[in-house]
Amino acid sequence: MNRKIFGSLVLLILLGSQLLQAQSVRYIRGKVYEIIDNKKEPSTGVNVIISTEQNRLLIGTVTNTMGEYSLKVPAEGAFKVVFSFIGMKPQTFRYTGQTELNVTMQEDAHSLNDVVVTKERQEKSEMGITMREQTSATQKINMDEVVKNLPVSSVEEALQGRMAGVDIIASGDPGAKSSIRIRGTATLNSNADPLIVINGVPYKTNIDDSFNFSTANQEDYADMLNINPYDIESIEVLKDAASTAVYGTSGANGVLLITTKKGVKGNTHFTLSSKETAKIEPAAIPMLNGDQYVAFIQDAIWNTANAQGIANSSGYLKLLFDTPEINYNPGWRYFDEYNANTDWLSYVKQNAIITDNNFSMSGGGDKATYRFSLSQMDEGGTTVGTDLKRITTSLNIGYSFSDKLKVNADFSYSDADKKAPWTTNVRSEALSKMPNKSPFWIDNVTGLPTDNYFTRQNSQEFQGAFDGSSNFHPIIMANESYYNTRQKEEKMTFQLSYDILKGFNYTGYVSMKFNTVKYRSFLPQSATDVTIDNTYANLSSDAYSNNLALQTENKLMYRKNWNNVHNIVATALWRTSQSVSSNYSTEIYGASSAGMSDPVTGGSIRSLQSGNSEVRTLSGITNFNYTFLNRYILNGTLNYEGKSSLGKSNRWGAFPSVGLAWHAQEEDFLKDVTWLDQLKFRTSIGQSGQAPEGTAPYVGTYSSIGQYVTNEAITPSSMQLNKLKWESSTESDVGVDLGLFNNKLTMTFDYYYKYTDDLLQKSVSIPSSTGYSNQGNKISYFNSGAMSNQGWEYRIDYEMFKNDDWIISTNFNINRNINTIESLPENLQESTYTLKNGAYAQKLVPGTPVGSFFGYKYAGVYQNTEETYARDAEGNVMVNLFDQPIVMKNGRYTCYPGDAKYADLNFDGIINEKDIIYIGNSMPLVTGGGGFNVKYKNLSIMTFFHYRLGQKIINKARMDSESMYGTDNQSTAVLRRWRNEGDDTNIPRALWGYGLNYLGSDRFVEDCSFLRLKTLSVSYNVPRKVCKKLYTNSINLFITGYDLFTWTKYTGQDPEVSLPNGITELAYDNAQTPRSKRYAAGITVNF
Amino acid sequence: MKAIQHILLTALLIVACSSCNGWLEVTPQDKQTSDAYWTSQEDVDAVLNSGYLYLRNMTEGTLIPLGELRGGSIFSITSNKLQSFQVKPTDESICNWGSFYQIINIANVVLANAQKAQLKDDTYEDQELKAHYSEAYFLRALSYFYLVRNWRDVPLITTAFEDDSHTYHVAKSPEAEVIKQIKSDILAALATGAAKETYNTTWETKGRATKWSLYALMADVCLWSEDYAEADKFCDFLIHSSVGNAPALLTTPTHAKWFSMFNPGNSNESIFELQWEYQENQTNSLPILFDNLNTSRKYQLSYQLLLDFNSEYSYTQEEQLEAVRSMFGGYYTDDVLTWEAATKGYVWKYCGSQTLSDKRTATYYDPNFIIYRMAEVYLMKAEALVLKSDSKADWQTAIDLINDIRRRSNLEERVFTDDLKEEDMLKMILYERRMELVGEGKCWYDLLRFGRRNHNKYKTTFLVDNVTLYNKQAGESWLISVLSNDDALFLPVCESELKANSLLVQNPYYY
Repeated sequence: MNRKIFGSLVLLILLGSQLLQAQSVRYIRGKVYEIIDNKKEPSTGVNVIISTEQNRLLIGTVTNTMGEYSLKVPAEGAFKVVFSFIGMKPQTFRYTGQTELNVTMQEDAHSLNDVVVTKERQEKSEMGITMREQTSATQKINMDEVVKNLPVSSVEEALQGRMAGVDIIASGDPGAKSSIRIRGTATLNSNADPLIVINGVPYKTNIDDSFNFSTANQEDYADMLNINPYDIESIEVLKDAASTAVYGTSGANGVLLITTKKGVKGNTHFTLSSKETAKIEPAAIPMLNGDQYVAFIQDAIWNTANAQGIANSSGYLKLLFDTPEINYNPGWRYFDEYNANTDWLSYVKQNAIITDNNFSMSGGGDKATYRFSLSQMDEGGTTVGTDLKRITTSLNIGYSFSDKLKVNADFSYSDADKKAPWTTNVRSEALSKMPNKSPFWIDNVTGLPTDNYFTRQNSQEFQGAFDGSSNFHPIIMANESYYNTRQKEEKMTFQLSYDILKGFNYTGYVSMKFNTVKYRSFLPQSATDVTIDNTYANLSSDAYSNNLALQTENKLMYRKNWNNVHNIVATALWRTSQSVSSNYSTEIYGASSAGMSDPVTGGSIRSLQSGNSEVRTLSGITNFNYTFLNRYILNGTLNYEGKSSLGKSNRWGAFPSVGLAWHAQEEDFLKDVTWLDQLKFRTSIGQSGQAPEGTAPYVGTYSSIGQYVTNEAITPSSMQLNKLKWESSTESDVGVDLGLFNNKLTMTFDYYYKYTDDLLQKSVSIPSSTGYSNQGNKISYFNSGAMSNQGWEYRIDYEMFKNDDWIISTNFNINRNINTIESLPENLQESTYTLKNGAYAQKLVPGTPVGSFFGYKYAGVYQNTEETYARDAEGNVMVNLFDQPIVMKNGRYTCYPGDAKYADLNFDGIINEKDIIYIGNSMPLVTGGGGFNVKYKNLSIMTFFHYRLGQKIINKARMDSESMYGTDNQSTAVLRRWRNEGDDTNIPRALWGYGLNYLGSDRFVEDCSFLRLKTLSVSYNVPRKVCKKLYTNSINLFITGYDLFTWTKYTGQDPEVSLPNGITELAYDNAQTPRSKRYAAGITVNF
Repeated sequence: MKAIQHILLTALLIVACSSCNGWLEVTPQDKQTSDAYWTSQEDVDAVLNSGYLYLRNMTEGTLIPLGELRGGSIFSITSNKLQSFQVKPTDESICNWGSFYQIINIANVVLANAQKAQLKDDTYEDQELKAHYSEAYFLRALSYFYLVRNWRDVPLITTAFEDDSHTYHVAKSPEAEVIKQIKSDILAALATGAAKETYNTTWETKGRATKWSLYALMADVCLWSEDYAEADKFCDFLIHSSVGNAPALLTTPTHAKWFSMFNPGNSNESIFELQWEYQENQTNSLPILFDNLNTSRKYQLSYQLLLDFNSEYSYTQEEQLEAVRSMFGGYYTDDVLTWEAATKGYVWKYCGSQTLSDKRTATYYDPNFIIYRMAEVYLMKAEALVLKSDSKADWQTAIDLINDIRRRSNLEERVFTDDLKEEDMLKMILYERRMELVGEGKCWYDLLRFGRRNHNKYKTTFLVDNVTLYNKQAGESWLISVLSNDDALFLPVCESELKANSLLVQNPYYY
């Protein structure tokens, strides 16, 4: 196929050059004048061109200093001779065989001031349909407004909360992936991200299955659309199946249409903008200091020794008295180092700066336009060791050979360098480190910390040895370990458009995207203090992956209007896409030093991997749009798509959709209602699908498993999956668009219902009786189960007041999505619940939404022995055969005063899985955003709010810091722990690796609803007069505050918590880097 | 107009070429796809070999523990839930039956596809195809026989899982139905008339399915299903075979001759044994697992069995005869010099080298694992004869058969007397099996078969009493209470399997 695409590209180019060929030898010459001070003077530098009737340029020149020109005239055909100069009226003459043609140019009063061309036509979609003719739900954002005043470093950030039905959760670390969900999650395991379409070319953001790096994760790879937000002109979101159908099944999760800026006719414009942003880290959870920690640990061990009984507690007593780390033992060699008072977190967090500089240049003439941009961004992270540097550049060139034939070439390159520590849990490690330990050696003489890290972290140490993920030195980890990702991406698109006949147009493109990612990581031995023969000692890895995506599209479009009575737009297109990927990774340990961390410099190999994959897709799409009397609209689309990852019989899928719209304001009975500008009713229904990823996952394979003595043994290694098919979804949408009072007040309401059937699931378990134990009894994909998403979206925009000086406007949107499992996949396996601390039961019940939490009801702390007695439903104390009261048990642990009290729902005197109930859901009730903008003359103030309401989450970070179970440092909340009867607290007593005092209960499930002032921005346009003096066209200054206020009841650091990828996983707040407050100041100059 | 032509042509070209479905046919580069397999005789051979390989790989982890630990002749020195009868559905490593079904699928796949290969391979003779079928039938029958003996009722799957056209969810079939399938498989294999008597190499003759192994398996299955006349018949096919290359009982009463069954192995007595070969880097841990001095050892003889062996050894010492299957044959002790005082015994079969008391060296850690040999066939016939009828003549023959085994071990012969009852006869046979076949993965199945037959007639005598006598790894009262429940004699269906197969129901004992 490579060759095929190449071939068509070559053909297209040949075609262009052939059109340029001219023939024969005739000349036309002459002189051009202009009137200066009423005198006729020769005019220098005037463009003289000969073109066809269709304005296709054949040959051209400029006049010399004497105002003379001479041109060779092509042999045959009808021509025009055109004279043009900036500031002059262009003049056109029909060529009738003249050999001499003298012209006098006339000044054009308008053109000098009016170089920026206004839009000639109404904007049309890919399928040639105007917004007015649409029957489906879309929303468009003009990026200029958003970007100009806001310190956004990514597209996702710019869109958050602004679009109805688009739910975005951004991450706090620079360059980390955000999750984007359009109208909820409607798929179980396969990709749920929306499709990104840039200038009509779809780009998949996810990576396919064959990528299985031990060292990399999908977040790193798929992150970053690698588009500079400043290069974007507008973003449109397509939500329902009827509108996404045009982009095939890859648009099943919704589509984000990104249009980049293009060059415009006129003088060359330069824009320079520069922005500095300060990120201020929010206050951290207060943790115990050294003394409080030691006291808490001693308390915990003593309580446990008591609970165990004296006979069994010798081990605990030994621990309590013989552990120098938590005792006063001045003779011990590390005494100084374990009697410090360290705030570990303060060493690994910081305030940071974002620098963002942009330059762009654009211009053009009648024939050609261009735009070039260059931007550089450096975003520091609030966790030490994190950083993102990105350079993007793009070039767009448009050229019109004639009125009929136009070509457009787009080129963009981006280079992003993301730095992060080797592990993402630096912060949580810093929080759990014992605060009485010093990060540095203490000088024996002065008693002050030295420059040398104190790295003791072995199995004799109180907190134990490095276990692969925790127990390391957080400061060294933040400063010296690294996990760097360098991503380079080139995108090239060549597009050609030809008007074959009036109303009949051909458009085709060839697009190529080449993406390479390089990962380098290093874990210094000093951070972990493991021995040099340990596989984590100086662990170093090097991985590389690349992907080449090739796409072509050929599109024929026909548009015709009959006296505004009938209007049809018919389109047919054929799209091919091919994606080829390869990767390798090496991992070594025992590298001699950080400087020698390159895998080739030695050490022992820990792992080696490589892989490659290829996916191909073909789709044919036809669209028909009919408008009757300018008010009744019928739209139909059929997508016929085939994908290489499905077997022959199920490879092709047909996905139809149909939509109706009615412009009621056009009706006679509403014609007189002057304040009504638009009343449009829309309805649509459409189907879409999802296919598995990866190189032919359906293919059955055989592979060798060794030898039986001397005979080769070959075994079936994967099953042929002929039944594997498209996951199909049907979505219907009903909507109203309302425009009132000269469109000052606009409203949109949509209701949708999406039913997804044959849910695709990845890596599904099958019974071992099928004989595939060798493969862990798994098949790559399986279709089963159904899910629905329904909801509504409402958006209002209101320009409340407007005069010459003032503009006051506001906007608001609110969205509700309800996700329901309609039928459970027949093979769905819930993880088995075992009664243990911190664990929540996982249940998927048909008819309930996904993301539900199940656990115990927390009822505080047992105050005294009397309270620990089990009670029956009537509240009477239960007694045993000997008439003694039965004491409550948490699992196998008998409850004592100070232990956690859970509701004994079945009144059996024992807390176990039978007492689990539903305690909440991680799906938000409503989400949305809104803003309020005021503009007075040159000053404008913009605010934007984002909210998510009615959502719950497991506050894992709080659980970890209040569990009082192990050696981890705890938050100051545990100072309120129960110690004696009468303590008014809901925090149980401290225990040491014993008891069930922090079972998965509603104690840690919190409401994380929030309303957040996302942005508050003040901007000022310098008056024109001042600009003129500074030889510029415009200057804009702004100050913006980001995430300044958050209203929430949530006790964690940040209520905006990323949702898990897998739908069967529960949502935890694992104390990721919290979003910081940001203050930005910037300037944009146009000249 | 030229331009239009060009554009239309290009568009057409792309449409026409791309529309071919072939372009969407992308196959993984590093694997053999199943639709391109099955083109030659070698392909069929290779798949069958993986069946044997799977079975071989199960020896240490499955065949030995399942066959031995519950019976009590051998116990694991580290705690093991099998020997303490505490297996739970969550003990995946013990009760996951997947590896047996792996072999069954291999057999099913061969039966479904071998003919395809024959169509493409002109050199693939009909006789060879049938021979391959008979091997597949054997592998399937043997696997199901293991399944039935351990789980009793199991899903009966005779179609190949090559693609997803068959449902993954299959309910259990009752024991009798599975047994019926096993028998019909063996008969089908024999009916092909192509089951081999020998292969080109000795190791294949003993390491792959032959006509002889089919006979032995059939006799075993018939004894299990209490079809004694048939069992007797199939034993006779082996014992009275007139074919020159048929396996035959070794009769020379010397240690060297007897021990040659285990080292070097593939003896004339052997019918079917799983093969290892150190020269091909195929070794196993059997010599380590049974070695008294190795720190990785795992198995030891129960004290009662040590006493049994000691008494056989002391007989040969008193009679000044060569010890054959006792010291350095079936067993050896931690204290060879004062063996009477020894407290621990080990299986010598897998550790011993060709010299009497030296162990295999690490290079030779490739002892084979015998599944059927002639001694067992003799004892199976004896068992069949005793149960088939009350005929004294038959019983006399049974005693003769037992004596054939004892004679070559220089042990005193059993004498037939009229007052011997069925129970006494069976006791003799069971004793002989225990001593002769120790460590060969038979003990528990023997106890189970003897105890369950004839509606649990001898359950106490043979099953309960023997387990409590030999198995000291669990309390006697616990053992008695567990064994009293017929369902507890079989393993639970493992948790993951129950989840993955919606039609499965747990063995009631493990609810």
